[in-house]
Amino acid sequence: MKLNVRSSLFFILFSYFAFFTHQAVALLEVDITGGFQSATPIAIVPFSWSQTGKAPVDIASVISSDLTRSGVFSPLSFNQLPERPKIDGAINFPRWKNTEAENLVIGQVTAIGQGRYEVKFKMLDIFTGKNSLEYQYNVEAKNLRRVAHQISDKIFQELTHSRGAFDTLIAYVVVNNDVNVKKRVYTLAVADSDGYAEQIILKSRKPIMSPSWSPNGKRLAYVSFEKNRSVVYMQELKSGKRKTIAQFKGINSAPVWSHDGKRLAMTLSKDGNSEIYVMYTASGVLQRITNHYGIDTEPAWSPDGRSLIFTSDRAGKPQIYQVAINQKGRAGAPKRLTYEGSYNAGASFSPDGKSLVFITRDKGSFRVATLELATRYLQVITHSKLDESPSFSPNGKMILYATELRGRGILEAIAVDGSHSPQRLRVLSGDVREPAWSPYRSR
Amino acid sequence: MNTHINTFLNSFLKDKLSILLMVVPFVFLTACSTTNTDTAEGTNNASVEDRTGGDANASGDGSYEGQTGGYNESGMNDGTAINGQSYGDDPLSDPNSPLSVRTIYFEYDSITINSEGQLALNAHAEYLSLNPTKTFIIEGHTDERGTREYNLSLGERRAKAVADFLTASGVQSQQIEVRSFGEENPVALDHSESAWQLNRRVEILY
Repeated sequence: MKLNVRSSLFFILFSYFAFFTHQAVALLEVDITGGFQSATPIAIVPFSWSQTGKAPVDIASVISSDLTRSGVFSPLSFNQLPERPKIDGAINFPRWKNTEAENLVIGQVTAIGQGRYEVKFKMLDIFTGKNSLEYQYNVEAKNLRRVAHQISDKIFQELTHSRGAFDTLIAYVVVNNDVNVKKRVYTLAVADSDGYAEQIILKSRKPIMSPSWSPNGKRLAYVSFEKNRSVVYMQELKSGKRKTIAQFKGINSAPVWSHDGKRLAMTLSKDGNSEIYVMYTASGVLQRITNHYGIDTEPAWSPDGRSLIFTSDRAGKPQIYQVAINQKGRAGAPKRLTYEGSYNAGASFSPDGKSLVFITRDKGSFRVATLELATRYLQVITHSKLDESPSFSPNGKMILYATELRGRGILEAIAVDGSHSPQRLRVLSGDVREPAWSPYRSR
Repeated sequence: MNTHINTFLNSFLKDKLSILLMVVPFVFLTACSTTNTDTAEGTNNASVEDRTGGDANASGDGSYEGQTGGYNESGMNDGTAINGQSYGDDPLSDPNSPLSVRTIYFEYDSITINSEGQLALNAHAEYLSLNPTKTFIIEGHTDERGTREYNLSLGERRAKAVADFLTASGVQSQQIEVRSFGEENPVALDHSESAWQLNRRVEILY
């Protein structure tokens, strides 16, 4: 298996480098460290292409890369494929039964004129010979990669019975950390979950932090220091239009959308020190949620929208607390959720609301940890030193976070149980940080 | 750190600001009581920090607006060079003045202003009390450890500790603007204790 992963990685890497030359800041996937012993082999045959030359997007390669990154699958390498059947052609099943794969994906891309393409694919069960999936798409060239991610989602769903999160986006901040502060440039960008198709959202000479997706995936709230202090903005991705949400005296930070999209929780220090507030975005009505001389920050909503968790050092050191929320604001006293360790901060919920992910101080290092709420079981799942900004993937299977590797800021994604080594995303130069995984995209 | 103290003592010897000798003991006492007050309020035990560099001339650089979509390099300001030869009557321009110490460093997990920081702040307090129309910025920073948002709040708390010290020493609160950059503006980019020491700081920006 390890060999498989490596040889397909070589191909993936090669195509990433080729792609990078067209990108300003693009994310680059470098590493899937170690092999995934438990990963399920799957055969993905390169899609046939109607014209001579190369297809605009190598869809099979995008799918292979997606499935490999999930840690759940290990696609066969090209030289392990016994044949390359066409979508309507004959398949020599006895030969496929000699491979380790149980499922076979084949497809084709056809140029149908006016810049449009038809993509067909099917997945077959190698043992029964039956189709388990069969779909057809008709798209512009710019959406071919997205089709590939959607196919990955369908395969993932079919074989694992969990929703795939490949057709999603990630937001992140890139900085060329120049020693001279005046030469630093901060870029807020959004890319596909595999780091491709990057769009620049904001460039600034001053820090940008805390991007947060609206539940419909169409807007980002973030914090920018372009006015030399923290200000919360909300920006529509498509139009680039943005609105100032909070620029009160003091800190304006940590914006995070409620799941109904109507409220933004955030941290403001306008009334003296850092407190949690909820703003109704249509009217601008502001409700103060916390009231304590300690630091209260990093709010995150429970999936049902009925409570917020936040970081507070009211007991001396930062720990995670939860407070009930209703229409009028706070509905009860905050209660403490974490007791283990001297530093627990930056928490957010899993999509099912059953666990939290946050940063914990573990043997002097700052690492990603999860807490199962029912059992209070705290598990440290990384081994790095300077982890930050962890969040669950929309299907709750992976955790994305920022960390430092050999002096560089990189992103890592790891399975929630920490069962295999993280995959890494980095930029060619500079640091990448503040990752935020988008919600599922509407089709 | 010792360099700062030496600079400070040198300036005494040079007698540029001999009036300080008379005022400092009084201000220092006030300062001590201020620190104690902080403790009583429970704000003395801050948590971890994070990196990100200080921009000593941040206040002169405010004309840059972030660009959505595009990118514009205009509006950058390299700051104004100080002519060390002709600072005239303004001790702020005197590189040998204790007022030239504009960065206060903090211990890990702490917002306590150490004695060295208090010495520097006493000079600033005196100058600002004597120039009550002078406004300035107190900018708080942390090292890179821990979460960014928490560090933003910690940086503000540090800056407020300095602001409290100064107001207790006679500076008017209207003269002060407190800001925090948290770990976002490190002056040292290494991921080491020596870098973290330099990044845990409050800057006084005139």
